[in-house]
Amino acid sequence: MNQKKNTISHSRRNFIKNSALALGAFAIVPRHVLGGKGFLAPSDTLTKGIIGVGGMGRGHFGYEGTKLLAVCDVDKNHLKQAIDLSGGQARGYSDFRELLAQPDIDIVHIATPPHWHGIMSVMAAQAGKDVWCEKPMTRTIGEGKRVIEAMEQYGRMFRLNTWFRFTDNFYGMNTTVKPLKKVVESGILGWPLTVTISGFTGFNWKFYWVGKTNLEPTPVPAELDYDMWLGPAPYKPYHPHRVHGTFRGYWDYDGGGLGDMGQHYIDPVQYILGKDNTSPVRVDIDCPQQHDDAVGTWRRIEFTYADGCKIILDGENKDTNAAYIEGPNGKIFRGFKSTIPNILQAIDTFPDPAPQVTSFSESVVSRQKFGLNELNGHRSCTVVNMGKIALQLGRSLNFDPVKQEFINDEAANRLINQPMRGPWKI
Amino acid sequence: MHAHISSIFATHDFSRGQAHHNPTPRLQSWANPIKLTNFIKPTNLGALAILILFLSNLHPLSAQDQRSTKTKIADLLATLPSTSNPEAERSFAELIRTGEEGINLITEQVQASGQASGIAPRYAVSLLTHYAKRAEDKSLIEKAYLQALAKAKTTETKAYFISNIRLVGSNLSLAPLTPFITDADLFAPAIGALVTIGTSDVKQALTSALPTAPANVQNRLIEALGELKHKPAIAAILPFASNKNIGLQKQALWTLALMGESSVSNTLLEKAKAVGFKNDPTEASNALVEYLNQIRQKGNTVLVGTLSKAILTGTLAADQQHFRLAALKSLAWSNVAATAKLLIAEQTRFDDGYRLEILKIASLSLQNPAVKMQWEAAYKKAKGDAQADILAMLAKAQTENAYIEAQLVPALNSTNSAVRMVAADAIARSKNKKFAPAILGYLTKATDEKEIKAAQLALLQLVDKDNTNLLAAKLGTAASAAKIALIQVLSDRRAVNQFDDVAALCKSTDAQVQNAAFQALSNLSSGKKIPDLLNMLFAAEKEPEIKSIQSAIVSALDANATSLIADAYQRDKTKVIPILAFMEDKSALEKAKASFTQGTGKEKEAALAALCNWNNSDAIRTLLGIRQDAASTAYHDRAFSALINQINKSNWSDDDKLAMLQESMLAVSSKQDQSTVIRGMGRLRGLPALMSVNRYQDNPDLSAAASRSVMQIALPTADAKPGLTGSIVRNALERARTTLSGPDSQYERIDIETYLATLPPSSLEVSKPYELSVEETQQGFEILFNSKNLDNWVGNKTDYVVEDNNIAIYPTAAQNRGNLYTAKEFSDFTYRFEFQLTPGANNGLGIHAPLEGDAAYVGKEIQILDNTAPIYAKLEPYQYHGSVYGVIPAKRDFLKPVGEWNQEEVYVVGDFIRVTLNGTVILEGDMNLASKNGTMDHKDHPGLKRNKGHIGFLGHGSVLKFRNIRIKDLSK
Repeated sequence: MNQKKNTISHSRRNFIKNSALALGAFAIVPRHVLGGKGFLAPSDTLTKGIIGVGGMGRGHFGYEGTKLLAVCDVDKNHLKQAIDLSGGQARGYSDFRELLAQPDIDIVHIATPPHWHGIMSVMAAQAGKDVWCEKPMTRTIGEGKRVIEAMEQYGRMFRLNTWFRFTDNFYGMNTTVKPLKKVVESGILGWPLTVTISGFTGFNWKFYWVGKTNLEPTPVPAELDYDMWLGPAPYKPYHPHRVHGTFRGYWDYDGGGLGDMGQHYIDPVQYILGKDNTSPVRVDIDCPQQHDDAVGTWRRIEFTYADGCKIILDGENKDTNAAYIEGPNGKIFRGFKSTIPNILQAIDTFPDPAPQVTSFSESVVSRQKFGLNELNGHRSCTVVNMGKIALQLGRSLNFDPVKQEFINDEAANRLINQPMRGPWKI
Repeated sequence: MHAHISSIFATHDFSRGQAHHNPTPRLQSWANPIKLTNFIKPTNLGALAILILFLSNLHPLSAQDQRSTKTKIADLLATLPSTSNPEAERSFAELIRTGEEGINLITEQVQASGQASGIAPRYAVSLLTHYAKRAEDKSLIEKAYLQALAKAKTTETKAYFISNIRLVGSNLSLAPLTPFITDADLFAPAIGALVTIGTSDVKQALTSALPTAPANVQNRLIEALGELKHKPAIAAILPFASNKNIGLQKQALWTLALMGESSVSNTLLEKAKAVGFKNDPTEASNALVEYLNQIRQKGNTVLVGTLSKAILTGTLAADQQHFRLAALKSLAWSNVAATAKLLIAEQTRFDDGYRLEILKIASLSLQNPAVKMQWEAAYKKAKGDAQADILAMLAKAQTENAYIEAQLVPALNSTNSAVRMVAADAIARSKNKKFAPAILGYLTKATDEKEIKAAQLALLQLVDKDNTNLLAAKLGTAASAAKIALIQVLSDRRAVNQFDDVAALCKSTDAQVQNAAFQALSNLSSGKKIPDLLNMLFAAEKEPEIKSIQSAIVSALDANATSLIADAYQRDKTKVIPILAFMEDKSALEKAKASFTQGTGKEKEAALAALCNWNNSDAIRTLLGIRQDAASTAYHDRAFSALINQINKSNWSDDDKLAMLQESMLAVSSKQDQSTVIRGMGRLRGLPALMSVNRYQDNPDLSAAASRSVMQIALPTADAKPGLTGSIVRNALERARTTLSGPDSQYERIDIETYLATLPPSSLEVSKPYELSVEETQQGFEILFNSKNLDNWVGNKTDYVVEDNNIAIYPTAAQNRGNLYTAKEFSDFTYRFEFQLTPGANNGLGIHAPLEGDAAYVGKEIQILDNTAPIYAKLEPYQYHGSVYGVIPAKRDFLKPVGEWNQEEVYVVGDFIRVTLNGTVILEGDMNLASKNGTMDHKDHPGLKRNKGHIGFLGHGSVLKFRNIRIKDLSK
């Protein structure tokens, strides 16, 4: 690296100075204490580069007012479109390692298919960057553990790009997640709790992202660096259905509707149930036999925690009377209907849960963990990955949340890590 | 015979198919998840496996199976992929029972991706690989895969078998995989599989392959040895740390780091030093950081200390911060006490972000009392944000009440505002209500807006319904901004007991306080406060205040309120009308209607708004009336949009909603309004709704709305309602698929296509109920299937259903066989029927069959089979369509293309049989003579001796349809 001016610390220092003038210490106190009028948006100072500017990546252009400096893609068409979209402002790269080496980039956004998430997150941390990564966090449990290590070693900030644990309308509830968290913390429903996620409370995901079997090898289009697109994934002959948008239907890169959308639904539940530091001890499944390459559909996945709490993914919406959340003393249905009279009013009388950091810019500047970071993100992604492995093996599995291994199931443990194609490592 | 049948009925479950069929699907069904989860306790790991083994032993096929392995495999392949886990377990068990011979038959059929006939074998391999649990099964499978790998011809299939070996393989695979380690195309999967196998033999083999392998293979081998942490390989790897190939150098440094051996410390340090402890393509500095991590895990404090210090001396520039942090973290670990001082000084080296990261490192050592004291001293000396951040760090580590009382509560009075805010935040995290008064004190003293916000946020975490009175007590004396914060917290906590205190502030001379008080009313009101609120309402003059009071009354409405509101309406109609919309009592609607029709000006406006806002479906008719009334044009738009909204929201039946929407449709004429109605219909279910919207697909102005509504009505919904079926639905959906537009249409099209694919694949779904021709009537034919129900049939009436005047078989997920027999028995007959195949479909016509047992053997089975499907490429002659299974082969190639209806006649007299397919005789002969010297399949067919029995369809797990079934009984 050459002797360029260090814009990272420069920009941060300016931000600190400006903010300090306006607000005093923002470092520890969460942003919404300080928010509102007069809050200086950090957009003027923090910078970002985006890796993967196809479908999802373009969504990152507008995320939370940081300045876009660079984009990277292995598809020349995508790259050109992205540079055009930035009004020609962003520098373009086709090898993400060049983007990581840019000294003026504070935050690296990773919007590639999931098989790259782990490697790129680790390499970004090793390059001293903070990371904003698309869901699902990692394709395997093993890669998630490495991301945690790297973030810790290099003191980097990480945010996973799903948000239902702290903002937006929560699936089918017509509220944010906060009242649900309060209900659980209050103990009003009793314990243990069962959360059922189905079409009633969101997206009908099992229809989506099913792979095709028996693809006929097809020539790689000139604009695509297929070898780099595959990266660590096993080499398989190119077919357009394997990449761009439909890649989610292949185990090598993702895990269908569960892999692609699962973390959106499961992450807030881990938060509500207070399971951010642990994992289920068991997964049960009901699915058709899976193909070893193409992801198929499934009917039901049930996760059980050590204390008896459960998350049920009811892919067939079979249990039409299922409450979203249910305990021995009460249930809450979609639309926040409940067996407990006037529950919303009752919830209002309970104290609020601890606030979360919900702006990644604030997290980057204050070095406080973002509400959804590599630790709780890895845990909720582990739930997804446990489900994927159970689907592939067609059986129930027991899991040790401390060792993060399956118990007495060698085949399942062989799926915790996936060998890397050269020259990649994590 | 009748008595016999009923005894079978009494003792066997026919609802799922053959009497002998095992009942597993029911037990395993998720239809009753409670039962299942109770059954399979987490502690009872083997229960499922034992259950399946037990039940699969009951499986009739295993007990009396006389098929050849080849046939078994062909039959099994036809059922894959299995549609449920228990079924997959059974298929797996069946596959394993076929042993080496059967598994080889499978692997031989694996072809390079892109060949249709290769799909089923790959499903079978996937089943073997993933479902194998017992060591002996895995070993059997591993051996078969190794044989298959040796025979495989294409790179893709070789890679395929290697990736499967990765999951089931053992040390046994080492020798066969070794040649692939240096294979230019296959080294990556081969090395990957060997790493997973990971035995000491594997480690040695990988090490010895290293020196002579090509560079790209060396790269993988080094990575593999690192992953396996195979230390004996260090000597072989070390030279690569100086290789001129950057990729090899990087991989070698990384692998050496992972090994964590002290002997390589100098190599790693010198390499990192040489690149200036910066990021570079060899990633030498990252390798050194990882090495620190590894030797920390081994407890080598001395080496960790030395290396960390070396890194610190070389990382003085801002762009080396992340390496410096990693070194400091390791140093702090190696010597907690000595590092505290260094960290305190380090805080100011770079920017605030760096300082905050330093504090995170420091926080890891706070359990050491000496270190904690040093930081406490540093806290006292520090200023501004730096001081606040140290306090936050100390507070995070000490959550006990004593610390909060001794340190944090006093810190609320610090002269440093940042410290005060951090203290408030940390106190709140205790969730201990006893600290609420301290925060309250902080709030009342705070002057700065940010601090008031911080105090308010803390209070929200410490206040519940039991201590809201503390807040109310401060309302009188608190300054304006604090007062507002208190009101908001009381409102957020619904402190109804503090209503009077807050209501008093509605008279405050401070406009902001007054506004906050009004805003809070609706959360604090209760039934007994309605008289007070009504008085406030009559007195109020400003619009926002009136609105606040109205909503406070609405949220307090109870049964006692009815007469109060009725009186109030008489006193001031305009102010009370908005409340009417939320009353349960019927006269409220009459009042609103009266105010609309008879009132003027503000009263009329208020009445319309109330009707549009009505909180149940009672006002729908009134709104339609307004929309239809030519004298009310000024109100048409608002009434119409409220009308549609309220229909959508109502809890009426879909029929009632549809009727009202159809009436609404007649009242509107603009494209926009009509589209609105069509969208409303799209929220309904059922064929009438579909028919209603479908006709608008022809109208270019309305087709966009209509096609989306068609889709919504016809497809299975998110809330578990099944999709609609039938040819009308299919046609409507196919039309919609082409006309959909908009940003989500590509996904919607996928939805439609996915659903259409599950519908029966024929454009000729609805058949005409069969009527005998004059000729057939004269000949004495009778109809066996009345096109309406299965009254003349016995057996599996779950999988066989009447649909579109046909008998269709849709094998249920859990079960893939099932027979449907005529209730009567026949000996000599002419049996005519039509059938429609799906690709690869397999069924059979059983004759002279008893109700129990495998009809192909205990009766006779005339094959019904799409033998054009690739999976049936290797059939025996006696297995083709029309054959008497195992006994007499039929002529081939007279089936119509899949999807078309075939006509077939089966003529049986004594042992003579003739099968005519689509007008061609494809089989003719004497069944006993044909088997005089043994049957073609060399199996025992006791059924050949029977000359009477039921006629039935014998299910083999495929979807197909039958119709026009009639018979002439020749024994009469």
